[in-house]
Amino acid sequence: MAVCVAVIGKDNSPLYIGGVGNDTNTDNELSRQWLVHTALDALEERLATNNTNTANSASNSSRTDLRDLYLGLLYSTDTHKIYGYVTNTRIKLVLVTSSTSPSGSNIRDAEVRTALRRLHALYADAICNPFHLPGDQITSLKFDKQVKNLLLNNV
Amino acid sequence: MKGVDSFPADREGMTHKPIITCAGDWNLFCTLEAPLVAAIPQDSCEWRRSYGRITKSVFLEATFTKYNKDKVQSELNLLKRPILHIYWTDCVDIEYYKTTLREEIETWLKQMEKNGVTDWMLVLVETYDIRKTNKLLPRTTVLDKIKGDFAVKQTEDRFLSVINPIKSEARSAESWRSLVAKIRHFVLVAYNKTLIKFEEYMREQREKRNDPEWDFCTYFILQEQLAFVLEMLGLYEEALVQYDELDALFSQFVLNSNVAESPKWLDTFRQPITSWQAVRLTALVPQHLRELIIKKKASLLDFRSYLFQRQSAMLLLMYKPWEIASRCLSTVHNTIVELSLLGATAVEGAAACWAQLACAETLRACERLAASASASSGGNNAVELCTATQAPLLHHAKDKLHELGKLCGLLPGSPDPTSEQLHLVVMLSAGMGDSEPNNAQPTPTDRLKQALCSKTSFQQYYLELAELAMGTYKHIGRLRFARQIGRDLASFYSELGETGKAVVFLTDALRSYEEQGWKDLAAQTRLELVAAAKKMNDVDRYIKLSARIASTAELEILVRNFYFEDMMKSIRENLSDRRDPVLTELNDCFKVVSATLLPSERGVYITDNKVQCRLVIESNLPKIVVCTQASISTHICKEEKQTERRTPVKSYKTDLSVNSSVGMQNNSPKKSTGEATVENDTSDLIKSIRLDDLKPKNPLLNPLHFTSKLHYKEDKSLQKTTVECQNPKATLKRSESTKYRKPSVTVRNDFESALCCNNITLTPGINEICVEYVARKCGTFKLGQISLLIEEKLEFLSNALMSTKMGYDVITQGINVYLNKVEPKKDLVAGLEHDMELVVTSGSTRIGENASIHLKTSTGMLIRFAKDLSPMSRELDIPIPACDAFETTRVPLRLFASLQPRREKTVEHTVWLNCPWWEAVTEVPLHFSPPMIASWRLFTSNTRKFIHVTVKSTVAHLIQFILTEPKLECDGNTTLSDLNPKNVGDMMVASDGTTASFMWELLKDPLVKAGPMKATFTVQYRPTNVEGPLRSFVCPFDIQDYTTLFVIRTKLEPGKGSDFCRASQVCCLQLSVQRVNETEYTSLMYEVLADQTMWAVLGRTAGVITMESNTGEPQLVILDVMPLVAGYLPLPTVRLSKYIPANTKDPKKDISTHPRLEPFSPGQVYHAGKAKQVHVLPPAPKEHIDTAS
Repeated sequence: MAVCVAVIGKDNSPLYIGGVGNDTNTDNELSRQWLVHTALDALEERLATNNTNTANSASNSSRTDLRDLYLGLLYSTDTHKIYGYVTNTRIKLVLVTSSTSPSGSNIRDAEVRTALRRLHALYADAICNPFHLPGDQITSLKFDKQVKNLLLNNV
Repeated sequence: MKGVDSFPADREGMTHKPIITCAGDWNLFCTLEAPLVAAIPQDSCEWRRSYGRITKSVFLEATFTKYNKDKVQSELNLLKRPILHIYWTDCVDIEYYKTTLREEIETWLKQMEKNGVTDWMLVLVETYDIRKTNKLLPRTTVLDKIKGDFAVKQTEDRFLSVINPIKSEARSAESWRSLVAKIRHFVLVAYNKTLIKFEEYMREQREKRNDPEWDFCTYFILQEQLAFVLEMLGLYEEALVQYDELDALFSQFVLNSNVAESPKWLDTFRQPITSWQAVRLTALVPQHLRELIIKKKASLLDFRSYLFQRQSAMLLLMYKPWEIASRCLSTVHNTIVELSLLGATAVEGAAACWAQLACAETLRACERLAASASASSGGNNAVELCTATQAPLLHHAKDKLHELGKLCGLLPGSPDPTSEQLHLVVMLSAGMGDSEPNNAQPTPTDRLKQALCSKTSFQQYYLELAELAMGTYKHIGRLRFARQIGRDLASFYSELGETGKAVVFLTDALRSYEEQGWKDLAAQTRLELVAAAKKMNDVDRYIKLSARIASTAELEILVRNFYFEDMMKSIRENLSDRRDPVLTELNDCFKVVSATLLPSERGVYITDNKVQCRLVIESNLPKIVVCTQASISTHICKEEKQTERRTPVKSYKTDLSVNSSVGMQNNSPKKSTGEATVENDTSDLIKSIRLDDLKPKNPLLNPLHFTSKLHYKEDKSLQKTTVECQNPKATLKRSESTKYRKPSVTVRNDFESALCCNNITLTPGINEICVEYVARKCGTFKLGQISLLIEEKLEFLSNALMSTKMGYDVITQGINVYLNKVEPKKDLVAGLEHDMELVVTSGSTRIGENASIHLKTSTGMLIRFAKDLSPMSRELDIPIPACDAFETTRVPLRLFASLQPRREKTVEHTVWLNCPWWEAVTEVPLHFSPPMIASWRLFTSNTRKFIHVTVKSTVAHLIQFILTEPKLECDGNTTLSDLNPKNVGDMMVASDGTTASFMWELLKDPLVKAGPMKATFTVQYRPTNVEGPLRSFVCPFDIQDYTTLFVIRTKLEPGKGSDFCRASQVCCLQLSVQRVNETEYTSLMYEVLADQTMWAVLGRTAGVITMESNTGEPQLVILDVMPLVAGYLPLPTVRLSKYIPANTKDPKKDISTHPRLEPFSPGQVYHAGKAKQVHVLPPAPKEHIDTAS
């Protein structure tokens, strides 16, 4: 389904970038990193508008509670689509799908949403490790394995 | 219809209007047609729809055609189908109606019925007649007749009469208005019915979509009719929904075709693409494309263009250009994916051409709209929205142009286009079609064609797009996108040969990546930068970047090694003739793990000695590197005041007092050079640091202060329990981004006085370096920059230690001179020779040749060298041999303080030291104690006098003296009789309490009045443990008032009539005072001081007696006393004092108002009965009373 998944910290530095691809050379991995990096712009833009929206309806507190963490499609390129998700602690999860692969092009919004929710859960599990320092890169092999699984499972 | 539709040329697009047929009197209608066509669109009408759809307010237009009964109306064609049928007549004559009109109407209505048309109207045009209004019978009118004949209840309102507005305008207005409203109403009612029917049919058709015979194009045209109608009714939003549905349907088919069997009709879209004309974003229906679709000859691009144009048209009509822009990109992306999915063949670059043009056209349309919007009020928001969506379009247009440029060999740095590439350009240009005529500004098609023609125009267009895209991204705050374009631009410029510009973009990008911790991206950018630097022949930058790349862990080791080797080569080749090294940031390639100042052997760092610092550095370089010099710069932060060092005497005084209070029992001064003042400041300097400790603590690791609280209601029942975080702000505070900014080292500190170490090998990983420095100056130093010089030409600098307060103090330890006792536990005793030594410690300085210390003593003290037996003197020159730093020279001396014939407890002496190193003279106070003290007492026996001398030693340590030849000498004519034994040998006195006593009797004529007398006690002494000469101890004393003047005798006698003294019986105490020598004191007072437990004095205990001066008769006083207890009781003592009555001459005061008492000296009154005791018997029984004496 997805070709790349990234967890980005509060300060916009990458905590984890995992990708699967038929080609594992550095070039492709890098190109995905560029995608994730630029996605932050769109993501922050989305967050800013969300914030102003919630600010406008500040009285409507239930709305802010129900704020969807899933931000939807952030932007797309000829070959990829980039989806965003942000946790309440401003940890950004980014998922990149390939529009050229048959599975990636046919993906539904709901699938992406579920995948990102699962990633959120995996992330939460990973940082529950008492030896993990919040803000550090996630080096957990288990997390990596699970994320890779998440990427492939949905193909 | 605003915006684009304001162009009159575009009007043809709106060809579809509701068709209304007219039957009956065509001529009559012709007169009314013009006002009717004009009147219908003038007002809106509410369109009520079934199925609960939202009621919309709709503006209508209409075209009228003559009714043709032969024209069979196709149900399927919504557009060509008349929607309403109107029968017009102006018949007012009932007869005529009955004869002809009625039949005509009947046939018309039958035809209506036959065709199942229910949407008709019958209009009777009347001429206004004033008379008619008065008619009482309405049935007589033609309309009534017609209604009566044809109308049923449901259709009654379809019969209408209207007053001809042409003939009587004033009266007709109301009826006319109602006619127009009716027409509008019935048209909408008709549409409602028709559309419901149509939609049903459409749905049916759509359900068949999986049939092999089903064709998307046919269905497309069918559903599009609905869109057209909705557009016609002004319901653009709903029209757009139709197009979107079609879009989604198509996309799904294409996507499914990839996984499932593809339907036959899809092959249409697999045909080779020959045309990639730009989309034209107007409200017009691009008829030629529609024709192609109808003919099923449209290529994928044709279809997509058409669909996008129609969608855009709806959006334009809705006035939402930003929506077009945002849809454009997804359309383009989708189309390109679909092209590949369907495998439609096209010239390479055709899709890119199409995409580029689509983006450019969208941009043009947006600009056009924004321009018109900015004129109108409230357009600002629209402009903003447009701008936000424009940036990605520009970005994409730029990318596509780049792709085309690559294909056609137009990129800078590429060789001239080959003939195939030139052919491709021709092909692509042809496929774009002709550009729009009569356009003043070049259209995107023109620009693209032009750009593909030559390298320069391509470059111009590309740069324009890129700069614009970057600018727009920056404007909307998408800096990361802007930087990505910057990177593209950098590579473009780099190819162009303008590497300088490229470097600017790359550096900017690099900084942002580094700040946000995107290490891979930063590494990649650095690789690009290093290539640029190489191209520019910027050796400095190249070397710096190579070093950084070589130590980037994210990169592959081969890459790192390559740049490492290249860097080393470059240093050797390009920097060999350079004088100054290239400076760069140390933290890029190395990591300072810790720095520790090694403690000095002596505890403090002393001048001319090594200060060492152990530096642990982690090298990230991939290979071993030789560090020519590692150093840490130091800077002095407090210079020791030189003046203080030059006047050591000032500090010396205080120093000594400190020493004495501490209890050091040497009396020698400790010479300091004032380090005490420096020591106060050293406490805040750090000696060792691990740089990891300096990092700010992760706030997330702090414990949260949670408290649980119980909230009670007013009636003390529990309302709720909460767990509260006390300071959520502290935890949730945004981390500051400043911590990512590290100050870059550009300035090299002063390495004049730096801790250095040369030629070390730094291996990858942890290295330990020990840098050292010989301190020359004293003061407080702080560590500054760390510098690692590699290959002599590349210097890494780090400011890591600058912010720490790491430093050290350097002090100078000056020469110290002490005058010490050899036996420090023993006191200095005057009158004895002592072993002393002069200790000279050289401190951190060397003592040169021919140095000597001049000693001078105070009077009474003598000094000499211990070695030779030279005579003692008060001054001495002590030569100090030359010695190195931290050596000690001891000069043994002997010292003697002569014993003064004084009776003081201590003897103070001073030694002045005159050293060549100090200007002032040093004073050493010495305290001596006398070896022994003599005390004397006078004893009296009646008139005989004895002197008792006691000698004891007060020296603190144990010392014994042998005393010989005691002698007492008196002045005057007083002779002394020596009562001391002559043959018992030497007396001994020691400080453990052993005393020696001597006794003499004063032989003196008792009748001669003696004045004050001076006596001198002399004794020879020698310490028992040392054989040496006897020294004499002299103690003078004065003897005064020693002559006995009065003798008191006391006698107790039993009371009258008893022989013995008994307790509780009054006895008689007889006092007699006898003068034995001449005295001026005649008035005496006696006081009986009886022990109250033994005696009770009855009556007066004191009294004044007057002694006759010329008689030696004793004065008698008798007192009654009573012994209280029995036994041998001492007699009550009697004190005799001089009585000076009031109003007598007093040497101190003129006249004393009160009588005074003055005591006698101890030897003047002799109490003869002092030790006498009297035997007191217990109280006797009444029968016999005894007394005893």
